[in-house]
Amino acid sequence: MHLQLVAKRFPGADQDTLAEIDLSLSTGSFLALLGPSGVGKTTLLRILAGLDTEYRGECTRVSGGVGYLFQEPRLMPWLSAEENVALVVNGDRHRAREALAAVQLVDAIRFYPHQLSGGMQRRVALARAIVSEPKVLLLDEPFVSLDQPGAQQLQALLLEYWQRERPCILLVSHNLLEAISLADELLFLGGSPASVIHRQPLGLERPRGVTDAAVIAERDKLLASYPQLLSGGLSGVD
Amino acid sequence: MSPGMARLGSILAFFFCWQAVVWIFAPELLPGPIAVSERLISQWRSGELPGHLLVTLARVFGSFLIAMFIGFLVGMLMGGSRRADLALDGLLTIFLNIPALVVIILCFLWFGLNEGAVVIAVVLNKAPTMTVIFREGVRAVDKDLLEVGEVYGLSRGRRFFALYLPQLYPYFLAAARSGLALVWKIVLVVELLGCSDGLGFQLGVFFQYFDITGILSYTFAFVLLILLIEAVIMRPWERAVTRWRP
Repeated sequence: MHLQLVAKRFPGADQDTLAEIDLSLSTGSFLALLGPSGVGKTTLLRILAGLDTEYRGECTRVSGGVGYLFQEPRLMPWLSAEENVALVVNGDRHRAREALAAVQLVDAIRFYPHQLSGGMQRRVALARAIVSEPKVLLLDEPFVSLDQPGAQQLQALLLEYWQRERPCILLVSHNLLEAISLADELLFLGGSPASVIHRQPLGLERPRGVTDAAVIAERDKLLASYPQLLSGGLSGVD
Repeated sequence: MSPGMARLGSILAFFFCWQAVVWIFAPELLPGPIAVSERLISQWRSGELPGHLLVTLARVFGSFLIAMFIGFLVGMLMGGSRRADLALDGLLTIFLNIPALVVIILCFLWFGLNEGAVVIAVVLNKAPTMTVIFREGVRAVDKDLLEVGEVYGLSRGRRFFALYLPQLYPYFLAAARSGLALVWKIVLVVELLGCSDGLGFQLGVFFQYFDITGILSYTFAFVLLILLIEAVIMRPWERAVTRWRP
């Protein structure tokens, strides 16, 4: 999947939100997209997902579609966990149950979303994202508003799926440590209009966690070279 | 005490008090529930009551469904498009506020004393309130959920039936509840004014003969039917629609 974005401007805005972004998503890569809030991370993700078509540029899509994890779980409250997942595979309950088993929710397939905890709702949403085995998985800050164990469980399940099926994952995050612990490469979005201001490949061993010394050291090194990276600037020197 | 017992208990108490008043005071203008029930049974056996009831029932359901359909379409249009909402809102206010009686009389004058006029009169009275309900429903539709269908490549039809319509079910229920109650009342007035059959017509006849027992026996039949519809259609439907709620 390849995106060559010339410019994205919202109707009524007097300047572009995004400009000059060239992004390739290849099989098996795990990218994290970081940047200050409001910079256009979600906008970029929506363009990649095909939800936003009002932009200048070109996007070549892969067959088999994408899986998308929204910031909120976005489950249909009137459908059970199983029905929610089956919805995106033409009602195939068998595959839905397999996907729910993969996120350790076999016992909850009959429950309605309001009967599930926030973490379980996210896992149902993850099951829905992976049930059709997409080549590309787009994740929009899926770990916010989850408690620590819930977030860790979801991350573990996600990594497990990634290592098994080797899709391309693009994770939007505002948490540098979390991004370093998960991804192979970091993309920093910044500027106005926003574009990718820095790419940082990571060569860390897996498995790794947010508390690993190597992960923390990588973050400190990155922030020392580019102190303004997370606020959308690139003023540092290396 | 079960909910069914509670429901029945209050009704029985009411009938008992009513009969007691009749026994004690023997009022000339108020027959007791026993007399009314006897009349109801004899009217039913003669075939007269079922005939009128069926005619009225057909009118009620026919015009109710048409009003619901029109209300749904216009409500969807007005709720979905701001421009349509602005364009039609004034008209909607007018139709909401024209007295039912005026619409009924005009329909009979314009279209004659026929079934078409009856249905048009009822629909014109009822469709505007249905429109208001469905407009609210469409405005409350969660677009975020529709996006889920879009991102996962669900077809347009599937998005409509699987993601959009279910969000409107509670509004269908509300429209049906308030709709049936009002449509009944309007149909009876329409029948009183311009029909030669139906409950409304027969009530008019009883009125002319000062037949209070007759009027009350028809009211009984009517109330029984409403209770039946409530128990057989409305409540099961409501349960099905709200099953997933906390």
